[in-house]
Amino acid sequence: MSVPEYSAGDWTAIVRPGFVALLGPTAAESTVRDLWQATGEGVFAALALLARDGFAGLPPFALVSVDKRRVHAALRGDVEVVVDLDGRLETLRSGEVSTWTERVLEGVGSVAVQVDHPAADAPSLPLADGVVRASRVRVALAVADEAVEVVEEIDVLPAQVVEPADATNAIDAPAQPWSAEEQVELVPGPADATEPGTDTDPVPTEHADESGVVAAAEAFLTDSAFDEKHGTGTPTVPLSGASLDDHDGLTILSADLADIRDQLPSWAASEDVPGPFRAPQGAPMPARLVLSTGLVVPLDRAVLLGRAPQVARVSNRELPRLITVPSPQQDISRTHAEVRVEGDHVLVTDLDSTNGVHVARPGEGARRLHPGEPSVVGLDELVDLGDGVTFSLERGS
Amino acid sequence: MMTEGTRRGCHLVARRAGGTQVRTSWGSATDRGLVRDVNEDALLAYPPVFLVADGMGGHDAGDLASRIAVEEFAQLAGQSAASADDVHACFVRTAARIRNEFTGGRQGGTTVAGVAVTEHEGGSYWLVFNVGDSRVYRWDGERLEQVSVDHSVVQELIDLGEIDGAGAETHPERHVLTRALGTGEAPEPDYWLLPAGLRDRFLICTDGLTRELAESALQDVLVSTSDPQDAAALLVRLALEHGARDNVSAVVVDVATSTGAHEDVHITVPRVDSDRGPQQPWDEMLDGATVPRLYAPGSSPSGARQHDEEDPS
Repeated sequence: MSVPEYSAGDWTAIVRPGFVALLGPTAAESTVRDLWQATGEGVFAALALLARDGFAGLPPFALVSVDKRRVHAALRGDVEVVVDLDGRLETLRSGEVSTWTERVLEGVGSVAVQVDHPAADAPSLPLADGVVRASRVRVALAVADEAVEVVEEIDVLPAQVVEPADATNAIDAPAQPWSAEEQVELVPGPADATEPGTDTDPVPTEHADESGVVAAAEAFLTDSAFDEKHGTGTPTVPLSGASLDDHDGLTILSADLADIRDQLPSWAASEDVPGPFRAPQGAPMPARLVLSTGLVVPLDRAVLLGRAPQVARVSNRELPRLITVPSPQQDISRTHAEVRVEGDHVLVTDLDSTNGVHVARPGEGARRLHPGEPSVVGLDELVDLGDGVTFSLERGS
Repeated sequence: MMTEGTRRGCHLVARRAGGTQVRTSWGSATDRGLVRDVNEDALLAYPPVFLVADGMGGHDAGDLASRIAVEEFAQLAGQSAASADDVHACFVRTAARIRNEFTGGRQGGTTVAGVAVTEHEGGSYWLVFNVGDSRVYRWDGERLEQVSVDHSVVQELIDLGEIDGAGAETHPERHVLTRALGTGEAPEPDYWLLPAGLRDRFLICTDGLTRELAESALQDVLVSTSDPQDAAALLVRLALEHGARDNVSAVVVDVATSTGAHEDVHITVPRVDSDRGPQQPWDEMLDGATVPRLYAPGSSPSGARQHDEEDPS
């Protein structure tokens, strides 16, 4: 689930399914109320509403409508929209324009709408649908599971295109979860005119193809490959004459190993698997990592950060999260650092990175972590990976 | 006869952010070898998962164990990607079925090694998995790297620095596995997550191949043979020429580089050219189990269909 998260502030955030608005402190209450009602029509309708009294009365604002991984944003004034494009962060600002700036971006992983220079340590809280005083709202768009859902639910789309009234009703319903289906419904609308021909046509075609392939593959597998086996559940080979002699006699079952191992020296019977990743111990402290890029990562399992992180030889429960961070100067190594929770501590390890991991407490000089040695990092410290990428740690709620 | 086209697979398997996608093409081959009576190997080559399974325990057990593994993992076929939890669930189901279906003192188990296309935090990755001594190699355009680490006593000796690679080939304990599926314990596969590269080529094979061919020979074939099906077939043929004392199986998986607007997608129906006549049907027990299933030449591959696929990028 991608429930939006917000941090408190002076601006007014309106969060609806598929839509986020952040209005400056000067926005009138009536404007907020009307915008709350009008969000179903997308960015275009919201702009029309904000500008109804002429451009002179425009408050600073950011409007973001979200459709699957497509983001349509309009900004004015001292506010920014930070989008995560496949690990690369792009910050949108209104610039020196007298009206507003609009952008449409595809393939967005997450989007954060925030006032300029938000307090980095403001607590972040979930908000599914509502109006709050906020300095920042963040929405994660991309989860692998959701992408699959979109594929399956795509046949909803044609109906919604023909009957836009239905889509509006669905969006007006209160407290809807941010399902992929609803975000699909936001597709039709005048706002799409900014990118003609990129959305409504190719998307259904692509999905129809995909499901066709999948269906054919399933039919193929079911029809031909497994009939006899699935039908009876019995072995397809004769049981007579069963003997180990038919085997090459060389490969040995691990079940037989107990005896063999008794005759081996003790080091060979060790079950230790080398590797830097340990299994979590006990119930860890809920904590998360907040990157300077705006990404917030829960520390419910170990996290590997790097330019192109990879994992070697771990068990299923030890599989860490992999977080790719931008490093245009390549200051950051492929797999640069590991962060994990152990007991009440958050441990940061420099995984033999080229340029190291530096940790600084406010008002003190930075210390460089010893490579390969897990070090406790406090909640008031800032960890620098290089290339301008830093992160801090937060206790979870 | 089969045409070239039906022996190769190509499929788009995972979407990436921004509408770009990872396509794979692949080929596979298996043979019971020159010594063994039965092919206890099984393989699965259909996105998003590619694997080989080397059964152990004789022909009422080893071949069945490897086929159970392929059946369970085949439930992922057709998905755009498989998560680590998806893959792990297949290991758990395979182990449970082997335990439940092997009664009356029969003992069998299987290795499983392979690679799955997975999505992790929004990026496309290869999830490499292994139990036993089948292997996963990656060719990244520059060098061949063995990704998986055998679960064998010999490997433990190598890790300890007691013996080197040459010593491993002649060591008397070289066939002793330390882990396999179906031995009564909870499965303990190892996993690797590798960022998907545009030039990646994977070789997944049973020990019947690596026993006959040195790593340099594997590399020569992978570098010189661009078509993945041709590469898989050639590797198995070379193993046969070297004596093929064990069953031999190979799956070769490529990131497809074709960016054409249309791509014919074939469900792979590979087989090794051997002395088998066209009248002789494929026998799963003798010739090995594959998913998608192998068809004898001349028979109608009713399940193999072609799809035209629009390239959406």
